[in-house]
Amino acid sequence: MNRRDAIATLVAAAASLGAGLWWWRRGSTQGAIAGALHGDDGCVTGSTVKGRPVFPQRYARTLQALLECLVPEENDAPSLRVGAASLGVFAYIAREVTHESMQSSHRLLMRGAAVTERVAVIGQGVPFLEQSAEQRQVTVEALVDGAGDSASFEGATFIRRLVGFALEGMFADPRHGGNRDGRGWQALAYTMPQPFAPACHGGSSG
Amino acid sequence: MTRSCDVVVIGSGAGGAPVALALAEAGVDVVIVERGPRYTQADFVHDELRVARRDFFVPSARTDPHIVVSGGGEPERTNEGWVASCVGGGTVHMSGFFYRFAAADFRVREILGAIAGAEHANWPISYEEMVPYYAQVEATMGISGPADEGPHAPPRQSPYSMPAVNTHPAAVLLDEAAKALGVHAFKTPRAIITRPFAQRQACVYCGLCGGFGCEVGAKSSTLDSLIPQAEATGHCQVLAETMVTHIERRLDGRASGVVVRSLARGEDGSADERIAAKAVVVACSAVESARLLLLSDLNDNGQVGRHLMFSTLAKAHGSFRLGKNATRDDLLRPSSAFLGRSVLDYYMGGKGSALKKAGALNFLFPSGGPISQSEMVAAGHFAPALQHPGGGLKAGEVLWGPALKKALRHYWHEQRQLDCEGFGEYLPTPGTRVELDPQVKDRFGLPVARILIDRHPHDAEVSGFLADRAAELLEAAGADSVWRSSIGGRTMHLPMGCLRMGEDKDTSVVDRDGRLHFSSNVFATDGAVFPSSGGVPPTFTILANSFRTGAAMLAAAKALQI
Repeated sequence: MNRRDAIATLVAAAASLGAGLWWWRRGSTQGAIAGALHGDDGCVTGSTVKGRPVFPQRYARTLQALLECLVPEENDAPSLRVGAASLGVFAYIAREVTHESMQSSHRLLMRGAAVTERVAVIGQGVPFLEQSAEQRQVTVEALVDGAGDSASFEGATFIRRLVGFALEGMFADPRHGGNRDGRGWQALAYTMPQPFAPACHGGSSG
Repeated sequence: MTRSCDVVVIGSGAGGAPVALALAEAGVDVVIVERGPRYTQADFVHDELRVARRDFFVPSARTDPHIVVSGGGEPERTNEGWVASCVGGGTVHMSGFFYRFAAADFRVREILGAIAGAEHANWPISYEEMVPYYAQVEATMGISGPADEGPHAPPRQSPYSMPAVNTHPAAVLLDEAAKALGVHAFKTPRAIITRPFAQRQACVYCGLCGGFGCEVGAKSSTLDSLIPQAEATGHCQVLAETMVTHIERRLDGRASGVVVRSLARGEDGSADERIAAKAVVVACSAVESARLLLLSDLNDNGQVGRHLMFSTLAKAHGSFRLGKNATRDDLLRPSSAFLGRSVLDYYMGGKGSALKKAGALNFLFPSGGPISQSEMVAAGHFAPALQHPGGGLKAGEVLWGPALKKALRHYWHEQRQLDCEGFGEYLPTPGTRVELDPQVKDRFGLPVARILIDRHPHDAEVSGFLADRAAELLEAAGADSVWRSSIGGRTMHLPMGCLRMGEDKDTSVVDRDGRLHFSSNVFATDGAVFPSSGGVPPTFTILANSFRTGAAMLAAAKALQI
């Protein structure tokens, strides 16, 4: 990539970050994040905020790709083959961050998605979504090592939080949107004692 | 609006429920004011995310924080230091490891002598005075334990009324290890009923005790045992979702009652209500009890908030690889609930150590559900043999990608882990105390508690000693790898001190009966009154002492006019 292209890519990435943050802040200003999406029985009933997706489409795809990298499917493994994608982890996250108590986590994930895109382009010249699995690992390693760090963002903290969300999405009660059909528990050979929570009303379990 | 009663008890957990029952049974009209909601068994589902990870039992740090300043570092906004906010308090979500204090726990100053930088003190009462009240707890709540607790357990006058919980076959490995090392492993006594008791169902061995409520009522929480008994007398009313904002005091120093606000959903909590009372009992757990007295300007001698303690925590872990030995695998593989072994041989130090007092070892399976256990794996705390290439994880690092999957696979499928928690003496220091935060307010605009922590080096010595002894036992049991963690750790869900019991009115807050030195009708009955932390979890002793204070209040009924 020549210098002009690099600058153009940086500008585009910065614009993308700014646009995403503007989108989110506009939503926040309008009181978009609320606990209303959790019903009285604690069930999550949706993953939109006033009809708008919780994440802009591009960030959603980046986060999903990150999750696939952090907890990959491993079809040839002797056990625990499932990964974040097949267990519905992103669906869990998209619902969970709409809760009022999750606003700072929501901001972190948005910011992290944008920084991931920037680090991918700067480090390897290829947008994250177009990178191979190996290239994505290099990008994540760079994030953890601080390639995208600033005064208000730490890549290691972002990845740690995303791994934490992934584990919740894989092994929490399916009523929260992940752990599809209890297959996360099955993968651990873990038998969750009854009683589980009752099935949600009007929402899919992921 | 104003209502009245004989005695207001603030808090419904281990400190509040026993004294309320004792008074109500004697015909005293009691109102228990509890900040949190009243859950039922139907609420206690096995949803790890909701119950154990989303502030189900404790207030949110967003609305009702504590500010913790540890070791002179930056203030941290947290909900640590809250034990619980629900009817039954911490007894609802406790693991229920119930050990009596030893006689030595009441004489810490005498045993340790003066130690520079520490402010430890003897209790003004002895173990012998507490014995009938331990028995009262067992009789009213249901505590299960073994016939033989070995030579180091505190003396009992009668056996447990029900047998210890059934334990996992792998406990045999610890029994043999203990024998080889010349120490005594015994079945851990629990606040869990093993046979039907007082119309409650016996334990179903789901294994989710700590962090969860019991869906069948077999855990002996005050919610399921003492509070229904108190209400059944007709002399006890529980006001849930109601917070005491301050204790009102007359010119003569006696309390006249309390002011409360509602936290119930749908109410904005802006209206104050008074409850007039002839006596007040404070039992909000140490940090919040101290905070309430400070908010109420009940600190005539400046001692409120001082001498804060927790329990010094040590941890050791042993990983037993599966597939090495079929006989051993048969012991390790079953998925039943409780490992259930304790060792008290190192309670007073020993093994050539200079320590004069240490604590108890409690052997158990890794606690928590699949999320928390997997997180421990990801953080490198479990299965450390597979930590990130390059020499192990640094603090704050986390496994990800194939390395994470490999570690999870190893933890969940290729080995069985046995853990040990060591509880040790935590010395109070001048720098460990509770104050009112000068800046941060709660939802009602009241200053929150500021928890200052300045550890004494003795705590880490005790913790390291206990972790080493636990590691020896796990190695002797045949663990393929053993590691120590949480050296010098603390258990912020076991706060004690802040309203120290003592005879000296200049250095303590309450007398031997729990009565405030400077307000003759205000009592404290939670862990706040403890002059020492002891070498075991304090809950059993909090309950017993609360019954003891109830007896003292009844003996002084005429003076209290109750």
